[in-house]
Amino acid sequence: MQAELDVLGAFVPAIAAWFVLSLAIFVPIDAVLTWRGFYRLFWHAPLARLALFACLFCGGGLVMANH
Amino acid sequence: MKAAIVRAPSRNWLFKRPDWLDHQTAVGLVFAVKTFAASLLALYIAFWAGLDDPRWSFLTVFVVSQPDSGLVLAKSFYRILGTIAGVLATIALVFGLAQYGELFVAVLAVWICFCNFAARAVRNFASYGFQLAGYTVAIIGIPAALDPSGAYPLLLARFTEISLGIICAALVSRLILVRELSPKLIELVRALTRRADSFAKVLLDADADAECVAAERSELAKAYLDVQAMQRSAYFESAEARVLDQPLRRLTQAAVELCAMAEAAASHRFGSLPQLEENSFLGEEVALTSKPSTGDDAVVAALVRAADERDIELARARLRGAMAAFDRGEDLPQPKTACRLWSDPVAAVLTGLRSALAVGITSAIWFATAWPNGPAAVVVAAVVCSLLASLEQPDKISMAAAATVLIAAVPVFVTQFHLMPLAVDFLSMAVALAPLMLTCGFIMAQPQIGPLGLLSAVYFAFASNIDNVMTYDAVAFLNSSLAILVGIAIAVVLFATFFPETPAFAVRRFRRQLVVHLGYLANASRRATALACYRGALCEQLGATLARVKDEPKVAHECFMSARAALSAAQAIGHLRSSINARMMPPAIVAEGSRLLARLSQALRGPSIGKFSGRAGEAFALSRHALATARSSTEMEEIEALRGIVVGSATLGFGLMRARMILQEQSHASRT
Repeated sequence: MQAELDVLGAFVPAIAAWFVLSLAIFVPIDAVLTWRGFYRLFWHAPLARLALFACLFCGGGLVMANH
Repeated sequence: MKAAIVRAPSRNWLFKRPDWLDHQTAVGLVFAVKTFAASLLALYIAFWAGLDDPRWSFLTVFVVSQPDSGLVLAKSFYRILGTIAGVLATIALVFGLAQYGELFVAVLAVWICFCNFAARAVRNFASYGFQLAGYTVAIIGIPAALDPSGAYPLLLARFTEISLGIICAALVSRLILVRELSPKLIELVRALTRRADSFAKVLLDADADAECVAAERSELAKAYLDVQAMQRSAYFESAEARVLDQPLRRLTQAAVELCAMAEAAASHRFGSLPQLEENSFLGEEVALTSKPSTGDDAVVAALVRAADERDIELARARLRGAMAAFDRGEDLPQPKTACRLWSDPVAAVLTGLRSALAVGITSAIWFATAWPNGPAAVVVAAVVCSLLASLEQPDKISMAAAATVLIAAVPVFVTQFHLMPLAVDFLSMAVALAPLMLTCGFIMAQPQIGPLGLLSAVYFAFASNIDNVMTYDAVAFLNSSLAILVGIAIAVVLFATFFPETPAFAVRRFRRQLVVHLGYLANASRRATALACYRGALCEQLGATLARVKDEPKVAHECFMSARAALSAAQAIGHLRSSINARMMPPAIVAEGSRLLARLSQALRGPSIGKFSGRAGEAFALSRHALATARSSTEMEEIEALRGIVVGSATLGFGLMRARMILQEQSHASRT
């Protein structure tokens, strides 16, 4: 993965771009999981949400770093 | 939606939240500790990452923190959007105009003027986003323009620090001792629907106490405004809050519909027409359905009464159906409705010009005196003129802000120059900050004085210089405190002198909005939703206007009467419009009805008492014509459709005669 992306002449860290992209991916996933009642399984739903997002963001970041 | 609603009990058996946590003192304490913890987290990360000015992360945490997590997320979202827009505008301004000082300040003033103008078109945190986009350019742009070679790193540093503060505040508020907004919102909407149901009953009761009805009306408008504000923020809280958004909107809309129907029916029953003229065929000083009368009048009165009763029953059934469906966790198959709220361009232009003037005057003082702290005064004047303009009595609130700065100067000075020097590491610095910041956090959670606590926290972050390597300069501290006071003073003077938004001004503009939007309604293409949107927007505007005139009961009463007249006319327009669209309507009646609505729309563009009387006369003529056609018709379906026209046009004529009152009072108010 490239360390920095050139956005209109400004160098943006690729990980920041992935952060924004993973947020965009996470929002529909979160909506589907809520609709299916997935978060009912957890005592602290926001914590479960954050953990899922962390998995998506860090997992994606690691996969991209190794390619 | 089912999943979202039944979720709560299954979690409660695992962890029952103790009741004392909802006590105001406990809420304040928990909020103070959470906010302080979030600010320390932001500060620690900023120190660790070696950011330029860590105090911005610290300050941002306090700015976006709210006791309810939905509010934090909503404010954070709009703060990020506002900051991005502000940073982009700053880049354009600094790299284009940094070498032309006067031109830079002039364009800055125009940008702030534009942003504050746009901020009045939206509500709550969206409005905050626009204001922020405006004054961010002053906060970041002025230091960047003074040092153009370091401008780009400075812009990036501010953006990073602010984003860090937002992330820390959002994480802590969402993960630790969460206070969710959605249950509160659901409770508020349920209370609103119950209240609307009982209000409709009381309103149609001839023996009801007028004062009680007026008080209940005022409470309902306030409750509606609260629900609207909370609904927009709850949307950001979680996916389940977003699932609940539309059903809750439908419930609120059904409650407003019932109230509007009841108001219209009550005005037909108990209202009396002021100075009824030759156009009336209903008799002088006669309420539409209360007095026994003869001939056509009696028939029309009976039809109107029957239609009112049917409408109220339908509205009540819709409300109860929506409540039952909500309780069962079902979603009613209705189209999504998105209504635009009203925004007054005159008030928006004045707000924009006032903030531009504040920037211009303060900059002129700065340039003329070469005052080293001039930039701080410009920033404070811009911020105060932006943030406080939409509040009621902004001059008094600005004075309170100045008094708060004067009082807070003592504890801030003690913390900065007596406690902070004792700190040797991060932990001891946290202990030194704790007394002041926890107190500020506690005050922030109190409903009436919250903004004063926030102001003290921001003042400390602004005037102190928290960094990895601390510098202690009492003279600089006092100079920046003086600059803050000068900025606030300029804002106070402008609020008090530059077209102040007095209660009379607020009511005048409210009446103008009622008439203008009634014109749009008469001309609306999407008929069914247009009336519902008019009702909702009217209630919202009424609530906002009442907040501005709360110290003057007479003016508030005038507001209610105007709103009631407009609502009655709007209901009649809706009725007439839906009747015209009926299948079996004779073409002559359709043509006459459409012509009446078109002429009414024109009349509302340039309203006058004469035009209103003329259109009311035409409406009554249409009613007579429809009644005569119905009598000669033998088709049941056609008679039914014509009844709708009779009712719609008679109530429209009546509503227009009442709406003349808005104009009469308006012309009277402008003469006095």
